Amino acid sequence: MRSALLIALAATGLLTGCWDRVEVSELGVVIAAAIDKAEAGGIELTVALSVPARISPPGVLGGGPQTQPPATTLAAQGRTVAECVARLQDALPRRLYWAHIDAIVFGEEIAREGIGPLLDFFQRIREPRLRVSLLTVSGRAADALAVLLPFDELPGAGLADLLEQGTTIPSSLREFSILQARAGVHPMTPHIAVERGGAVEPGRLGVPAEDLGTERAPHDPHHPAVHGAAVYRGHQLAGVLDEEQVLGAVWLLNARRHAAITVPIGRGGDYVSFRVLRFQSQLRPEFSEEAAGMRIRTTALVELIDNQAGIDVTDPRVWSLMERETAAVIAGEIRLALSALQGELRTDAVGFGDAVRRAEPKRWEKLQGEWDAIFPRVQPALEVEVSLRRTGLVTYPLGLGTPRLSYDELRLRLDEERDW
Amino acid sequence: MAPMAALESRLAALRSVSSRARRLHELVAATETLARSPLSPELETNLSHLGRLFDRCSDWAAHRFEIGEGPSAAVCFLDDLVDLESLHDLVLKPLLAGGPAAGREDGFRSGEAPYSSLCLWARRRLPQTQMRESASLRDLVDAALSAHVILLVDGADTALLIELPGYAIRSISEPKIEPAIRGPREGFVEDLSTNRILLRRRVRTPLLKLEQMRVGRLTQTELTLAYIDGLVPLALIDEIKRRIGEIDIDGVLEGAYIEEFIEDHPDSPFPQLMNTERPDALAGHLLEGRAAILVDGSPFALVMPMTFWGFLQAAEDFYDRFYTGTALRWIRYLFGSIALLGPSIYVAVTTFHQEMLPTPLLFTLMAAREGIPFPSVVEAIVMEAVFEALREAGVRLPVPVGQAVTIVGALVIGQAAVQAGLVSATMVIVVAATGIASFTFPRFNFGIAIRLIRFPMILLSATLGLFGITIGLLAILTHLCAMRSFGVPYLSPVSPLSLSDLADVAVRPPIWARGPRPRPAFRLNPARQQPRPNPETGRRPDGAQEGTK
Repeated sequence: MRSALLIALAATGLLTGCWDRVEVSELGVVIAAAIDKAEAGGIELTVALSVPARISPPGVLGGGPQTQPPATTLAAQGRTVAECVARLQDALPRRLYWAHIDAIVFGEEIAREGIGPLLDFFQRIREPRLRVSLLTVSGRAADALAVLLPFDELPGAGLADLLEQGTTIPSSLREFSILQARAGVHPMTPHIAVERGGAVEPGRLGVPAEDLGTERAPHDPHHPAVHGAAVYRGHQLAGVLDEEQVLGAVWLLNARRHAAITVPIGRGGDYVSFRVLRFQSQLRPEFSEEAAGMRIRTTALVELIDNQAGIDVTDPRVWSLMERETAAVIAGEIRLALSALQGELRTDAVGFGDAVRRAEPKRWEKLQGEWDAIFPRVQPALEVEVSLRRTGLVTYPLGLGTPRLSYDELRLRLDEERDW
Repeated sequence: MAPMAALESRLAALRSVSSRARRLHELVAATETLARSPLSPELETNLSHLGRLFDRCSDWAAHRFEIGEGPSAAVCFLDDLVDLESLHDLVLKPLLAGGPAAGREDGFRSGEAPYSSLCLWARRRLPQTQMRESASLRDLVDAALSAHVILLVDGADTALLIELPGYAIRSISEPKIEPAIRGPREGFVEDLSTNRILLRRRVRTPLLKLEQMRVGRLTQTELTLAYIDGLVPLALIDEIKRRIGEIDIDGVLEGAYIEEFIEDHPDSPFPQLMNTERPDALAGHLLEGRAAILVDGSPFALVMPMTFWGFLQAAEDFYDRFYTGTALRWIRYLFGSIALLGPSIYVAVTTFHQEMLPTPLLFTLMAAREGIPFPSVVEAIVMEAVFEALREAGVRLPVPVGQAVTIVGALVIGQAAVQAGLVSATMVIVVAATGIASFTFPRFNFGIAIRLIRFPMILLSATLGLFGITIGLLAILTHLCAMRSFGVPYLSPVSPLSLSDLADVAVRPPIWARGPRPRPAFRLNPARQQPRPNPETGRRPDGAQEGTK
């Protein structure tokens, strides 16, 4: 009895075999995918695949520099994403494997038509992670996959890291799907463009490649870079917030902020720069009889990182002056973003509607249907509070024994500007 | 009638011992019959009986002489076993000098009650403490086989047995298998009495009981059952004795023979008795209420009952500071799991669950596996088998050759196989890590069980992925839960849960903060110590219960 049971158990293991076993060498790992509008109609799916045979295997000495990048891109056209995938598979000896996809890039043209239907494939199959980044490219998306970041061996692999460092509104498949379904806020994705590469040799910095006439490429290949954020109305691209405009959206959405805040000191061409350590924005809707208003309260902790103007950082009164000025710059950034969103884009991508829904659910039920029309007329009331935390390792610019601008001079300069 | 029958059976036995029909069981039966008969008052008869029994034993010596002018006597012994010098100086010289016949009051007077006066004389004159008398031939045989000298006197139907061991014993040396950085450097040796001394010197109480037993039809191996009275349930002792008593085997050459006979689950890969060559570790076990069997001829003591967790603890844990002990214990748990699951998780993840790997790691793996001709499961099994073979070769070969094997093996597996593209570099890393991990088990017999279970686990992971590993682990867990060692659940104190004992599994508690004795000794004597007094005030913490004396 017992041995019969054992034989049956062994048989289940041995007879059924390892039918869904897939060795890593049978996989074609998709690093990134790009979706464009095909010229013939329908869509074109481009995938960046790793080619492990071209990765210099670890432990093998004297492999030498690889002449070919360890990745390749393939494209196929079809009516749906799945159809494109099936056609790609026809041309590939390895199974397309989506679990490690890092980024899905949409071309401008197809994004204007709407990316919702295209996302369905990635939401439905179980391989891709919901963390996969979504990006929008001005022009053709496939171009962003065709170029390499200087630090990566694989095209497309560094896209997600790029978004970590750039100042933009990050977006993942998960977040986009949530925002797309939620009333009162529209999704955004980072917006990238392909930029010219930097110089390979330091001595040739700034020399245009064409003029050298040597065989050796003096520049890195072109590579993608972050340029603001793409604003979607629902799932259709409405427009782009440029690098300046996106800063305001970063403040309002509590996203990661890397850009320095540069504060002008009067009109003399003097500046100081601050780095944001921590910040928080709160939205509180205020409704009066005739108009909708939004009270925006932003608090930020900043650190002085560049005292080009030479202000006197030992004087606490200077600190409070600078805090006031920085707050004014932040408020300006927010206004700039709002004017773009409420003006030409007419899209509530910063979640004013969502704030109304949270604060006054009853009123939101009434407004919900016409919010897109109301949003451009919402009156923002800004309240920015900045506190300066520290001023870095040096007191005065080295070489200057004393500050160039004392409190009184600083005051004078700033008042001058105000009067002017 | 009875004497006649006895005589006849003895004669028959004599005939059969010397006949040409040599079947072991007949010989043993005949020897038994002969040995069961009482001694005869006639010296010559006794000598001839003994001579027949030790027929063709070249080490048998029977030396006749006369005590002074008194009766004739003989000393019989196995001359390789006894110390001849002592025999001459302490026994023969005084007897030949005729001490007993010198007419002193305590002298030996011929004719009257010769034997009893011989004994009396011997007790007074011979400086021997290892001396007893016996009237059974069987006793004489046993005694001769365990380094006694038999003194037979004509006219006496009892003999004097004097123990004069003179064989070589390996001196006490450092334990080879269980070395310790800090701790006693003495290890058990092959000689039972030396081992008993080592144990007795550590537990100086008459409550340490050392019960003598004997197993093996032909080897007649001596066992000592050691335990501390009052800490071990008597039922456990009775059970051990019953199981040992039921062993019927011709020879016991190592404690392992006993272990296999008395363990509860002989078909399990997991050991249920521990062996240790450290007297201090053994003493520790006895103090926790376990029993031990010392086997003559083996430097390893068997400890029972043992639990799963006991095999993951080293004696040295208690000689380090408790932070160290705890950390080492956790490292052992961690690497124990790696030793069991390392290759199977690698196989499962690379063949079923590639999404679980970080992307760069997947690419590295892919690059390493590119061009490898075998599926990873074959790779894993072959490499693990080669590793086990290397380990085995290293153990079997003499030390200088063993080193060569290690070097060649490392070269072959590590460098050449990878460069030849036969195995991937990552697999070598996995196998090496697993190999290192498997040596963190403080108990060799437990470690090898885990190492063997690794192979079915690889097969399971190759057929069903992580699901298969889960099934395998559940099967092992079920098996472990069902096991008992001498009535103690194998997984206790984790299952069944015993909170007070659990501390010793999770951490190595400071000596002064140890809880009550573990089960089953807990029921007999819970408190093994009083809490540590405050070094400044000298007071013990409040609420400390009085220790049971």
